[in-house]
Amino acid sequence: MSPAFEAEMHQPPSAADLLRTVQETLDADIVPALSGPSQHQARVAASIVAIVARELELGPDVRDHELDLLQAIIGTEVDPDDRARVAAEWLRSGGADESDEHDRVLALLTDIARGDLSIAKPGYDAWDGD
Amino acid sequence: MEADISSRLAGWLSNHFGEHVDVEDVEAVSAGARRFNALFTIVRDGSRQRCALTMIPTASIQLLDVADEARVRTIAEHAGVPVPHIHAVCTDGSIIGGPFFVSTAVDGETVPRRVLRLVQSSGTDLGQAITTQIGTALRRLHRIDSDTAPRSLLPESGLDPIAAALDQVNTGLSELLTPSPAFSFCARWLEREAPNEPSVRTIVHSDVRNGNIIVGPDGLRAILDWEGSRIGDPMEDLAWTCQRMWRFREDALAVGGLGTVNDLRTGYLSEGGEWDSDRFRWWRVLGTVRWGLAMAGQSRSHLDGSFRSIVMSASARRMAELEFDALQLLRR
Repeated sequence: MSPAFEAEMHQPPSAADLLRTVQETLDADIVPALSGPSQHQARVAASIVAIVARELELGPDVRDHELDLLQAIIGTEVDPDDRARVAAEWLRSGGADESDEHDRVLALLTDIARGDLSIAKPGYDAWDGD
Repeated sequence: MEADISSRLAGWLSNHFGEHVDVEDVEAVSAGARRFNALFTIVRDGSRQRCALTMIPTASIQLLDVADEARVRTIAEHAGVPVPHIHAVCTDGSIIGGPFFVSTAVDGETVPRRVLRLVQSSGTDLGQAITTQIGTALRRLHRIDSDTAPRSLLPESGLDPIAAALDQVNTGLSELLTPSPAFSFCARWLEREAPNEPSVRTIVHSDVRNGNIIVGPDGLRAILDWEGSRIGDPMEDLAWTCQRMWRFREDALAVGGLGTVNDLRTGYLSEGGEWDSDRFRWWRVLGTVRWGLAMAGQSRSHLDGSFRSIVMSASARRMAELEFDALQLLRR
């Protein structure tokens, strides 16, 4: 857990705690009071603040891990800011065509997606492709 | 707006049917950016009929012109596909603010979670029955001679279905604001594993799924939302029904949380359809990647201000779901 702004900058609640309070209020009080399109929008709003709360708490670690995984996919040292682009171009042009390489890269890419999902939609990765 | 529509619609329908009709009880069902849907009652000579109005606001981007969409639905209906019957088509955009058609309002559930609740509370094999009926309906649609379809269903690019789909993926990848290694990997797989262009091209609905069907305790009653119809590879329609997002967490039942791929296949084969498993899998991956890239496109429309929306603002975060799904489908 490494919040974007460390606790010593503020008295608690943290930014993530504040967002969770917004989410709880939306879910418990505001969504049930609405109907139709505005109810849907309020639901989406609740889901967005929950994502941002998780991003504040988990984002830095997920990002570091993703950079390590991208490095492992590429295999050679690449500047962190360039890794996603270099990996994408290498994969698009057939870098992992060979069977063993395909399986290795597939596992690493899946780990990256799991990291993103831990922020965007926890639990979604409990599925193994029918 | 509703009172206004009532009188204008009544005037136009009276003229169309050649007898006086009244329009009552207009109820807006959904007003999206692309369509306005409402239910209303036609009162004619003492009898009352509940109907559905589908209007395409004049300013919006149409996938398919309203007359052609109505024609496809009518062709499908004649082939035995359950479709709400169309009573009237109006291409004049000045009557109620856009071209429209009027069809029978079919009773039943359309909201996915309510569809699933109905199926789960039925205590029978209703979900399986609906899935088989979807397979049957798709085969009936695919059996139609595609030469009878409106010409506007042919792809504008002039490309064959597989080539057109790959082209869309490449365009989507090139437009991403941040590179996606996962979709780049999938795009390579799609290119390498691409099937031959289909020997038979058919009308495809392109969006048959839990959410675009009306069901009741007796099973499938209608397939809705034909605006994406085009000429393509029939296996694409079958694969699309299995997208994970149409299951609403009921992952064990691949077809919209309702039934299995085998149920779908059974219905398709029962009407003489041919099933190609490799092609089916390829279209499942293609549909997943294409949808993920469309999510990124939605978030770009939000960012550049062309369509600011809270739903579309969150779309890019949803890409991870589609990346994960696509990668799972590539496991061997």
